[in-house]
Amino acid sequence: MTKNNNLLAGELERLGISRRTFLKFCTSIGSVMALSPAQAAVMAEKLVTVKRQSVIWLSFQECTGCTESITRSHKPSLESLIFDFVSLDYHHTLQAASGHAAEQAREQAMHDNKGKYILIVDGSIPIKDDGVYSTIAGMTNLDMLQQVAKDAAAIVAVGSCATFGGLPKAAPNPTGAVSVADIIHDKPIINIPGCPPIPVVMTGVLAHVLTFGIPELDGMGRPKAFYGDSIHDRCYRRPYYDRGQFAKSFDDEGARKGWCLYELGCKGPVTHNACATIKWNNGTSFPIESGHGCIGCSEPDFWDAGGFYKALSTGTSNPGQWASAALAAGAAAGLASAYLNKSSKADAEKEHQPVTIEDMGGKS
Amino acid sequence: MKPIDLPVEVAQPSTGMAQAVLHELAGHLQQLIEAAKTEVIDITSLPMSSSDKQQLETLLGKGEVDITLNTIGESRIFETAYSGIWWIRHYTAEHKLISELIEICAVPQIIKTHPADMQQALARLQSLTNTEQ
Repeated sequence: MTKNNNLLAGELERLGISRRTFLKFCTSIGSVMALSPAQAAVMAEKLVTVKRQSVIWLSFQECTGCTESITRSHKPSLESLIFDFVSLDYHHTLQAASGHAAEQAREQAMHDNKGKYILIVDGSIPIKDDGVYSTIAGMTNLDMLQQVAKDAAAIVAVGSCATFGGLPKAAPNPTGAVSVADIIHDKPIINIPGCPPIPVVMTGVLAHVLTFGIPELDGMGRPKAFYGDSIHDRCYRRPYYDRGQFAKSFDDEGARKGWCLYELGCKGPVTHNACATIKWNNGTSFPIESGHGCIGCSEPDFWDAGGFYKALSTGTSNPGQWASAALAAGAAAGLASAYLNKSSKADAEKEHQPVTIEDMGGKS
Repeated sequence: MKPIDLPVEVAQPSTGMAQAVLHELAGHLQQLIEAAKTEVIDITSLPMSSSDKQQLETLLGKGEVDITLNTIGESRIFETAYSGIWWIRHYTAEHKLISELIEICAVPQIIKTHPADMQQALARLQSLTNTEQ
């Protein structure tokens, strides 16, 4: 059936994937996207009639973790299927071409698919000193983003760097790193934060764009389907929070019993992401399941949010104000022990007592 | 590569979620009977501990039908002891559970053969009979 060659239906046929298998994949992706089962079936029907989509992927100030995440989804999965199906016309980490040939591929794709291609960006864009801190083929990231964004149908910003500035933006932000949305204002931008984002979230969004168009976004441009709930909302340890059962240190009875990690600095209540349901490493687990609190990597400025081991109740929004506010409020639980850090650590060594999280917090 | 098997077990006591799901199931089954409305509950996205899931599965029990789909990665589907309530588990090729659903319906949707698959089967069948001639 040559007529299907350029469609996903043809790809499925070529790979010998039955529609039943495909429906199964769509069901699982639909469930993580909070689509109703009826919608998942519609998605399966629509996806197979989709034409090969041109995608240009620009990597700016980033660590390649986002690309690692999306390419490490094990085959065969819908993630890999969608990712294999799109025509990735430019991705300087993955493409075989280099130098002028690579840049030519980008320009060719921009020309051939003018107004139709999807632009994926990972990494932040340095704008200080005219953007000299990061260049590709002699062109600043700033110029390249503006040039490629101009004729894109939509932009997908993947990772916390592209969506919020991420680690490059961490104080004192030496390169003047900003997000995609800080620069581009006239195109639909879908933000997929996370450090890195969950693979299926990236491909799920692509699948949604290909079938139903731009997904419903929240105030920060994030797809509600994946970022609508907090980690805390969907955490299997949530019932312990509700009962007030908290681990107080990483090796106490509560930690061993799998109680809530809120007091150990878990940022689950203020972090919007799908880790608690989709999980990581092919659905193996997510950080809280490994006994460590969420660090909130998909939230803006998570790196500067005042310490991964500070409990939220002591205030983490502004590390500068944190100390004085906590002092003023007399919320000394974490703080007093921070001052006592040195002595408690020495005592712990002496008595072979476990070093508590307050000790660690005090150290930072 | 298999992960290292560390002898650490995090206890996951039941939280009462199983009972809550039972109430929901009863409502959906009534809808199915009265309005032929099918429904799916996504177990994967509910904040249930492993003992909650175990408890729910024990409560629902096994019915008369047990189906294995040999798709890429297996799928196990069985009707619970409560007719019209099906438990569905989809696995990847590496036998990782990717989704777990409870479908309230007469026949789970994924069981039905898709017209495109039938079309392809017909083409294959025809080419088979052509070569035999």
